[in-house]
Amino acid sequence: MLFNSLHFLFFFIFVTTLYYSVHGRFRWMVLLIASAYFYASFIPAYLIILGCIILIDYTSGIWIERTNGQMRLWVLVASIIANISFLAFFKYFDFLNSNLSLLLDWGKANHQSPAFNSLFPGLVLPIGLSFHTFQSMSYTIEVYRGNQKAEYNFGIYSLYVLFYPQLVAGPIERPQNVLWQFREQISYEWDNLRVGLWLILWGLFKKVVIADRLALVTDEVFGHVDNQNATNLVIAVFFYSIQIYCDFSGYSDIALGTARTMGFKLMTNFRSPYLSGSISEFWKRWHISLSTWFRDYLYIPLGGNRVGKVRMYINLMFVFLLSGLWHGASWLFIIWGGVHGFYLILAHILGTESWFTNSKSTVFSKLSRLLHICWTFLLVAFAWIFFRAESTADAFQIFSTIASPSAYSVPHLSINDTELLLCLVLIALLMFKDHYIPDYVPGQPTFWPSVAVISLLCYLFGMFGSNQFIYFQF
Amino acid sequence: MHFTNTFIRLALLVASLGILMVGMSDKLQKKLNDRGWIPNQYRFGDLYNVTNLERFKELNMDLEDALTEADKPATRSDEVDLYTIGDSFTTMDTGFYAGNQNHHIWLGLNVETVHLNSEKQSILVIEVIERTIQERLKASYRKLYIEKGFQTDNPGSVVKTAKAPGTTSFWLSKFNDQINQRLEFLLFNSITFLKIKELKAEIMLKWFGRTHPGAVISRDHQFLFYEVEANPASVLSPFQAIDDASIDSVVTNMNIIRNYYRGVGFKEVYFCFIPNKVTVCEPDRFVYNNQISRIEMHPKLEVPVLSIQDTLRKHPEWFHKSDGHWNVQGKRLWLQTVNRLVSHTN
Repeated sequence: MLFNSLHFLFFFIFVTTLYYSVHGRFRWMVLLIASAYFYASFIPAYLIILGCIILIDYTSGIWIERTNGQMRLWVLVASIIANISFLAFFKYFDFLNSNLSLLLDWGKANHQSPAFNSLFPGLVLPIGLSFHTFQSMSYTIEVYRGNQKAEYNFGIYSLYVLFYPQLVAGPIERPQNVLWQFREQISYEWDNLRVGLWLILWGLFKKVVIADRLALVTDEVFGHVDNQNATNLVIAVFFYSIQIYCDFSGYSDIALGTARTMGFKLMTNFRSPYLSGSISEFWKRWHISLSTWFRDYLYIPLGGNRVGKVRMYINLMFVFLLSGLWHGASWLFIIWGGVHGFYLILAHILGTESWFTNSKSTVFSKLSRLLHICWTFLLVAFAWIFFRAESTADAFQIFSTIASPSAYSVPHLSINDTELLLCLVLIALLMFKDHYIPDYVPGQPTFWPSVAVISLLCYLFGMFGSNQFIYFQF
Repeated sequence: MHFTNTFIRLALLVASLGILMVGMSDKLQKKLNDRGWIPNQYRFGDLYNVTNLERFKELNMDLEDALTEADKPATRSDEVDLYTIGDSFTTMDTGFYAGNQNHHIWLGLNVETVHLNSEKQSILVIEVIERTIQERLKASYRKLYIEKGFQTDNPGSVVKTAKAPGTTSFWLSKFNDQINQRLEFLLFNSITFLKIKELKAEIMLKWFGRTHPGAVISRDHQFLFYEVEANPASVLSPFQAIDDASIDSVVTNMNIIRNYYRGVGFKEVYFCFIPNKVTVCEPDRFVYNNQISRIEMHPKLEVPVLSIQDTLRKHPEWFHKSDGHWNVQGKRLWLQTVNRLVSHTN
């Protein structure tokens, strides 16, 4: 069930109304059943796989709390290994298999290593597996650290992993932020509904009007790199940078809004990332729930900034390579992570960290901030090429074409000039909102008229089909 | 205030649950449809249903599509039993066919076990639309025409029960994947919503030069085609090159089908290919693969063919403006061709 579907619209209305209509004691049950239905609506077998992960971490949490000494650590390690094994088995089997085959030089003997599908024909990669295994792991880690008490109610723990607004693409929550909310007797408040509905609508606008419209260009250009001139490629890279932002932050807005209508407050996942003045600032504004996950559970335990410089750089690169791998079983994602790791290390070595932020608000500092924002955007857009290209060969062809001055000519895109102009206006609108009114929610009496206008615009200018959210694949 | 809130909640619960239930159940939706509570989504044509372009909306679709009593044969054959296998292009009403007994099945959907009358001549006519030739007669011919199709219970022939369509496990199949389409038909198919849809379609076409990705407008703006037919990149398109081996394979399979049905007691089997709308209305859109002619003139073809393509190509107006199918004129051509065959077999 996609957020941008009629099925979701009526499911949402039914579940939210039912949630407020039943007694507080039963609300978590309503949410659990609704979440199980939501997840099963993709493919019912996913529920069985997720059920295994839930069972493992539920048991591990209680075990960790009841055990003392070294045993606690062993239980934690075992549960993490189990989670990662699920991920590795379903998501990285083919990747590991083919790379190991190459490494062992089977390639020369013309050895074809069997693919996951042929070895396990009935099994499917569960949608959003990377998200819920990470969320599940954060629970056992926090219980181990003593920041969260083990949850004894199996239903509520299951809801922590299954909670439908953030189940398939985050935000990757922490137990101390969410679990207590499931026990709260949240009463209906107009403000929650107002903010929630507005977030849903704005998220939908970003997805169906902006992201899916830009996809008309990016899908065509990235799908046929050979036939493109440099101008087409530059436009496509620029558009993809905006597309992925609108697609993913649109999903996050809908997730946050859906939860908010029922009174739940989930963590913010995006904070105007393309207004960042440096790569390090970008990562504080982009996919915050994932970057803080890696920071809290990997980078800091590895030593964080407290170790020597060389060790810190190695840690940084390791974390970013892993972050790339988290996104998908492909060298392109790993390279993408590596490029960001490289940016951060270089910025650290050159000492170019946000120096302008200390300047007084002068014309010079504003101009300098603008230049930093543009430069950061260029660096990020450059890295997206690896993220979006269909092969490494395609990625390098894009770079070589863009770098060749003779390859620039009049663009030939799959949209006409009017639509190209509309795309640019929409991008300007997006940046304006991000900069000046990032948290704007209309109040009474303009709320319902605004909802009606945005809904109509979503319908008239939205692209409706079976466009999945990009981050669902992770 | 409390009463109002409770009423709103109840209304929302009942309405959303009711809508979800109808969306989930094909049977429930059909029942509502039969009672006239939901308008037929194809009432203005299947291509209009995809594009919502007002300029291609046929308001008198029913009139343009309906055969009349006058189309029924004046006389019926005493000697020939007619069996036909077709699809959405051919009428299911056997009253329009001129055989002594007439049996018609929709390929893949219906299976009929019949007893061939040895005192009559049983002939079988198989209609195939051009875009499905490779799909139906290359890879799936055995499943569609031999395992399904007509089954006979005559002495000496193997009685086969039709196999149930291949089902995937509930756990591994996409859950309710038609629900969005059903909800769309249920809620947004009224005249008011169609006006809004038409506004959107008009904006897309006028401002952005695009239609719904499922359809394509002809260069002269007179016809609307399914994208899978008109786009040369689509495997269903008559503009995609087809190698000789694929044509050979189709011809071989047609001969096998013929031999199978003759083996179980049919006197003869005939094929009738209907050209795609795009090759009739805009044949020079791209390079045409001439699949029908290549099959009909293939030296190894043993099956007799009822060729209607030359006649049909002279009449692009025999196709609906807002639909991928032919109109009543095309249906008449089919009936005249089949019924003429019956009378000649006499």
